[in-house]
Amino acid sequence: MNGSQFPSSFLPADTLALLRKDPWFASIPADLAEALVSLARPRRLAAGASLFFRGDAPDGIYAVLEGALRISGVTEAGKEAILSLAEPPHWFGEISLFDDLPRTHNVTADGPTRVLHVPQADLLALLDRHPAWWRQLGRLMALRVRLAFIGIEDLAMLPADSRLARRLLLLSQRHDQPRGAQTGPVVVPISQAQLGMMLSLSRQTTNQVLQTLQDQGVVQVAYGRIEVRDMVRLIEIADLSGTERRLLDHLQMNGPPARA
Amino acid sequence: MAVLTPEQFATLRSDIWFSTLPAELAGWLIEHGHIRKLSHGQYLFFRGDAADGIYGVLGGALRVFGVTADGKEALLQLVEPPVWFGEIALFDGLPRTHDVQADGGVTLLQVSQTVLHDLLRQQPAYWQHFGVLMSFKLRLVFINQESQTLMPPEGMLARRLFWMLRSSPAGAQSGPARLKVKQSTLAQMLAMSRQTVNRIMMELQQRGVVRVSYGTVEVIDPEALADAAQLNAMERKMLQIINGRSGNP
Repeated sequence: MNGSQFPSSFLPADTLALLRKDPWFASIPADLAEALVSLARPRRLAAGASLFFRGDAPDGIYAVLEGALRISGVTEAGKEAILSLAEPPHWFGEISLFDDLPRTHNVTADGPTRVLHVPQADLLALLDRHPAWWRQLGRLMALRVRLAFIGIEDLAMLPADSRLARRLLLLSQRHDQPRGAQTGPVVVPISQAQLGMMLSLSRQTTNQVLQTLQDQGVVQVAYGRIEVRDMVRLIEIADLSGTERRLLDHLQMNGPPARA
Repeated sequence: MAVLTPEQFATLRSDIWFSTLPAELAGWLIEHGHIRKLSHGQYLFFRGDAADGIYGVLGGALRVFGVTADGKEALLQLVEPPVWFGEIALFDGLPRTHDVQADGGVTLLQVSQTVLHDLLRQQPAYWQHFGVLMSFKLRLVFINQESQTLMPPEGMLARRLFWMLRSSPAGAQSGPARLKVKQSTLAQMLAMSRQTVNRIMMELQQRGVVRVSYGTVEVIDPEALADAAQLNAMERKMLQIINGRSGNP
């Protein structure tokens, strides 16, 4: 455990408590967590404001504190594909930190949003002093690759209802909710249309699947959000493989099995 | 210690990741690697296995795939020289993400996890280089995933061919290049029917972009393939930068 207190910082205590709910952030060494927090600058984004665009030069990593960010790609023809929704307390931006290549996606505030920004130059200077921390940032990216692989395989192999259940399951793990028991309903602030776009499902199919899940008492759909009412049943419908179950356990356990 | 033939050295050096490594790290990997040979159908590892290091493909091809609970196979990709893989578990120590099986005879350079971790304890700055291997992989995953969602089958296939070409030694040079890949493999990787893949290939062939024969796709006009692939802004910038970097000896 790295349960030590953070040093005095301009960040309020509840912000630190929120950050520590992220499985990646909770698993990194305490001194790295402190260093990230001390370098971080708060930023506010109005609804619809962009954090950066695909093709932009890297400018550091971010954590979502409040609201949500839409991570999407747009084709040359102007069609949009939502990759995912980044919600508190998710960290992102590490891909370009490693390879210094342009941003892979557009990132736009989906409603009023607060983020923490750790600027690239400060972060690189920190990593120069503590090069072993590259591994810790790499673990954030490794988790992203694993989740992307699961998404790809689901797209090729699974029927719409399982895919939707899996995505809801992942979105509800990431959300800022008490971890572990998860007794009450978990609210995922996502619209039907957004969920459909993430899964490449038509609006009709998305609606049909959600309606069936609602009839079974698994979810409750409201405007702009989906409540998961029966997590156990959702996990059943998601039909997880052994590896996925382990990854999910890992996300819930709040830490990696192996640490250097 | 691995003893490599001059051809194997050349193969490794043609990789977009390996060619950008500091000389001492590249040399160290070769020095501490050992040669593994697999015969057709043999498994390198299974999904869920504990990690045992990273691998560079020196010859042959490997199928990277997952098997669903009801026994269906999902082919993620075909891995060929000079690609390196296995770095995800190097970082997080979690189990292998896929089954990996030899498709024909295969020669690999394996660098064991323990030896790598010893090196990384002494030279922790090298973690960044292994992270770059992973970031390239993730970028290609995003590219393929998005074209699967947004592009018509023609664009999707052209884009996959373009990036397969660009990650192969042959594609590093300008001019025509040969890709060893069956249409059935492309169909599996793209979740398309064989008929669709064949129809698109015939169209590309008629336009003089590729020439198709059994088990190979010859790219006659890489420029036209890039057009058909409708690369997005990020991909184009990424290519420019990568081309610039590997241009340095």
